[in-house]
Amino acid sequence: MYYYIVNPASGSHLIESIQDKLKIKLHKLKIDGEFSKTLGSGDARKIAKKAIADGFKTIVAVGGNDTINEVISAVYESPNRDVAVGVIPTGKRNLLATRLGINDWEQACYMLSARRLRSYNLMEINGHVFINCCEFLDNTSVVQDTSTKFFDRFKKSDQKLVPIEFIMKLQEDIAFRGQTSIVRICNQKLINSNLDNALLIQIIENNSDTANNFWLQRLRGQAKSYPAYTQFTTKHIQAEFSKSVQALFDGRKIIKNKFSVSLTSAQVKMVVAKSKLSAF
Amino acid sequence: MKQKYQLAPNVTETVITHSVTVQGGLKAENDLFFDGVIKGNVTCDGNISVGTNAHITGDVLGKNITVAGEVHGNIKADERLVLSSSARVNGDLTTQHISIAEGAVISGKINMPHHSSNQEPPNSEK
Repeated sequence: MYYYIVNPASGSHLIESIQDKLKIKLHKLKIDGEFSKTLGSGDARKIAKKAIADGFKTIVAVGGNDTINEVISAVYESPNRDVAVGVIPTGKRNLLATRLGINDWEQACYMLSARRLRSYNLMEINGHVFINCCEFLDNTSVVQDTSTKFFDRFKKSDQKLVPIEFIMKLQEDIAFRGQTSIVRICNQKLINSNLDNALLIQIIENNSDTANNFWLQRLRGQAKSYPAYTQFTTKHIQAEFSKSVQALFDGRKIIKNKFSVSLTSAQVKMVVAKSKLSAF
Repeated sequence: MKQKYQLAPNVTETVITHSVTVQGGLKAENDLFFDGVIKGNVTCDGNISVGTNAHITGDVLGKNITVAGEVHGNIKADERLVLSSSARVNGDLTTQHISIAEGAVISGKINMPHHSSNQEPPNSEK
């Protein structure tokens, strides 16, 4: 039985224009189920927890990154993780959906019908769980004004990325040092489903023009690949920076200069596309 | 439907670029491209490519190894070792097959276990 958690505000209320078509499509595919709408932040998490407790086996987030992350957090916090999480992307930023091979809501419906599942280990940063990606970068003015949405502010302004000194410790006696503009940590299995679950660390070279151009393309959803970077895989890493940086992970943000990032043993089953895509 | 992205390889290559300094030994399970600075051994189950900017103070052990940078330590390639013209090696080389480009500088012995005797490199600087 499917349970759909709809964020009506997602993607500038995209759901209003597609909800009738969506319900017809789900009915035709024989995967209609119960629907709940969220009213604000945190609702998707509460609703998903209750749906899991009520025995629903597939929880579908109809929304953007925030809605998906709340559903995944609910699965992680529930005693019964034997549920699948599906995604119908209607948000402005659907990074996880893209990684799962989902391009639009109609394709998502067919994928839900096929219910092809793949397990992904969740990652943890300073006690916060995430599934997709964490990016570290410095932007001084945003650090001073945390009320401003980083992405929107960056898009509209001339703010440039500031180089940051880093130390990445794998163990007590192994460390990587250098200067960078962006560090990204993601689960390599989300990039290529052939690979095992592992933290993939990518450190962009400190070439400010390259990094800034890349980042602006990235915000516009136009970046096709990372510029030159150092990359390696591990299960756990301690990241230290010369000053406070922003860690942006799956739509959330923490500002610190020390971070502990681990691959947890907790897995979440996601409904995915058949093809093994390398999605940026 | 046209596929939007290319398939990624089945393994993730470890890449260390020239802006990164590594403290301690480095062990990679898959292929490794190293172009940074390290004080410690570099070990890899796969192939190693040492870039032109690389400065390694330690031993380098891998399957097939290509060196274009500087290595202060012994190099052991299980199969093939290739030294390009910009290679600077201060240490012994052990491998089955070797290729040395003109301009490469080696200070050390070349050991080829399946061959009858050790050879001094033709252009070694001692």
